[in-house]
Amino acid sequence: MKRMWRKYLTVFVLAGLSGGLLLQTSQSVQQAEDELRRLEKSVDNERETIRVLHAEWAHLNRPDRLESLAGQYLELVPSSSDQMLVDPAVQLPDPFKPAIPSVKPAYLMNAQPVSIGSASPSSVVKPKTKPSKSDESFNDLLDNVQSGGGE
Amino acid sequence: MILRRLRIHSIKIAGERSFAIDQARGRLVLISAVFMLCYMVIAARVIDLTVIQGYLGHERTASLQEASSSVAAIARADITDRNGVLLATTLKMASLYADPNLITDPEGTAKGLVKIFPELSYGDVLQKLQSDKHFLWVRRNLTPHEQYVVLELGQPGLGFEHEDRRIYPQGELSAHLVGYTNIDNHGLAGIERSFDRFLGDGKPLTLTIDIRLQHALRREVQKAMSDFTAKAGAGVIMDVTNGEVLAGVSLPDFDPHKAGAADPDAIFNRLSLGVYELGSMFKIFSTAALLETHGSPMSTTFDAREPLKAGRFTINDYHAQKRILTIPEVFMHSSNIGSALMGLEVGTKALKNFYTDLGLLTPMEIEISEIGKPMVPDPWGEVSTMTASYGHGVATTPFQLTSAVSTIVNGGFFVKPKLILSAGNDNQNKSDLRVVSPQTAESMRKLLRLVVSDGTGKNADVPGYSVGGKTGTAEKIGVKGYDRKRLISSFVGAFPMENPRYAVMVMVDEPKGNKKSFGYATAGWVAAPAVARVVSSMGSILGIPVRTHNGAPEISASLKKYVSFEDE
Repeated sequence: MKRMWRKYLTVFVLAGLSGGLLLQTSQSVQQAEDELRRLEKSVDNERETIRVLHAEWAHLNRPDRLESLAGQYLELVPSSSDQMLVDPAVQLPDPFKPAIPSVKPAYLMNAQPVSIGSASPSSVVKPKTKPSKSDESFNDLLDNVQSGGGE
Repeated sequence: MILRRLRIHSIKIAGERSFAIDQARGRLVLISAVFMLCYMVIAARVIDLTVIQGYLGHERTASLQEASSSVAAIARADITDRNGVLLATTLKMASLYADPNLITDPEGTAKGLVKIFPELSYGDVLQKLQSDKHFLWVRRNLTPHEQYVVLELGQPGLGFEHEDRRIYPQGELSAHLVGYTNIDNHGLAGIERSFDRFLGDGKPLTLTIDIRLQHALRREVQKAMSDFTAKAGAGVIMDVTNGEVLAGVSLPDFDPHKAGAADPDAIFNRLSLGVYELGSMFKIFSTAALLETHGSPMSTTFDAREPLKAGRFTINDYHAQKRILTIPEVFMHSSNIGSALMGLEVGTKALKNFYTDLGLLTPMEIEISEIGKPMVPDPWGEVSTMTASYGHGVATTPFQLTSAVSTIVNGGFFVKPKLILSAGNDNQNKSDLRVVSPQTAESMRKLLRLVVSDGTGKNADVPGYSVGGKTGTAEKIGVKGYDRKRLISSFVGAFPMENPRYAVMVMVDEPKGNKKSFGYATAGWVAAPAVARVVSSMGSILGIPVRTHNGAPEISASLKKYVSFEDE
């Protein structure tokens, strides 16, 4: 009789153990699934954020905005054709080698501004310094989207 | 073991009791067999789940997951320019709504919202939040950051509705070519319309446009329009070797986000849908036709002393020379009389065929669906031949004209305008359909250069880039016949003329003369300087090396012996 009890006890303990193990496994699976869902959601969110940032980047780098910013803050104007190079035969008076090798053709390195008869004034581009819409922020753009496109 | 003990007992027990014990044993065996079967089924299922599906089914679940996530993420695809700059994209926009019944602390919530969105007024928001409705929009189209800050308020009565919205980061810059969509993200115009399905399937598109050139062209057409208080304008930059449209501007333009509210005149695509009588630019084609069909030498002369009577028309010269002109002189002084005589010499049928070969008389093919049908004289008699030689009576789109000019200057290979950048290198995209011979193409290049170096297009010259081109000043059709005051001034140029790579066309609708142009509103004063500014910008944007002649004669120099400069 005593031996039988011991056997029953073993069986019950084993059953209890395996039950507990099963519960724990299922719980951890559930947790892992929750974590997975959370991660997937955050990946989706990050992707969406990246898309928004891409759009914002493109919007802030609009050529007209860059041009007006350059006009405001840089003392540079677009180069005109008579400021550009290039006669492979002519050497710069004081040629120097660039620190980083250039991918440009070698002769450009030795280029010298060429002197051609002066351009008619109309051929030199003068950027408008302040186009009206240059300060439009990305949020203003998003505000514009309100009504969507066409009807 | 119990069974065995029973068996031991059964040996001892006999009779009625032994039967009962046998029966019990049989039942026990049956029950344990059923249990064993159940456990075996469970064991088999466990092995199936863990081993078979766990290892072998791995790929299946992964692909299943991917499919489900891509179904969720399938948004209308991006459109980019040739350098990968975003022209159109889709963003998931959150719009904030409130359920006032669920809001516990209207004052606090309103304060919080006003802090996040300074443009909202506290009174308005509070009034909204205290109403007894169940759904109220607070603000549309929030950025992810704003959304995050609103969530931090922790109000259960605030919620978000997510919608995919089409965003055009470049605004109106390429609105006519890229097009726009309606609120359900279906394309209504431009590339958005013609590739609606394709984009909807999540496949991105790359256009041939270069947004930097697009901007430079727009700036200069705009400047020409404002300098000469013009009504409208258009401009094209095309790669003459393969017809890729590097920039296309139609002004006035519109904000594609608010296309529904835009003026129909602004939405109208002047590049591909608008057809215009472009005037003297057609002399490029009639002269090429003469050189191609008759092989006439440059010294061939045409009598431009008297205005030409043709039916009820009298053909006059704008820049009248009143003498006998050679081919280069007719071209550089833009003599209508001379061109009309050239047209007669070519002949009606040959001229019509030549124009058709250049794609000027039939609707063009391009990847957008806004395509205008050219206006062609019908019936086409001898008078039509004469007027069509200098671009009257024939109306085409700016895209068509630019590609026809590209066809002539690139050495004679047919050019079709393209908006979608195709994979592969430039040589693969080159057409091998020849329209004019290399000799004609070279003569035309010289003639075009002559117009800029010595003729009506001097203002289009940019030192070092050897620009060639042709002016075109056409009178618009008024109430009775042509209206001398309402002009369309245009210029089409190509450079560098020794081996042309780019064609630039600028058209200005109804310019009015100003002080700087001495009151003139003709192409040489309006459109030619604009083209020069575009070419100059292109030079610095694309880093096009300038050419020096180093004393070598210009390409147009060989024609100068046919030109008499005595009257200048």
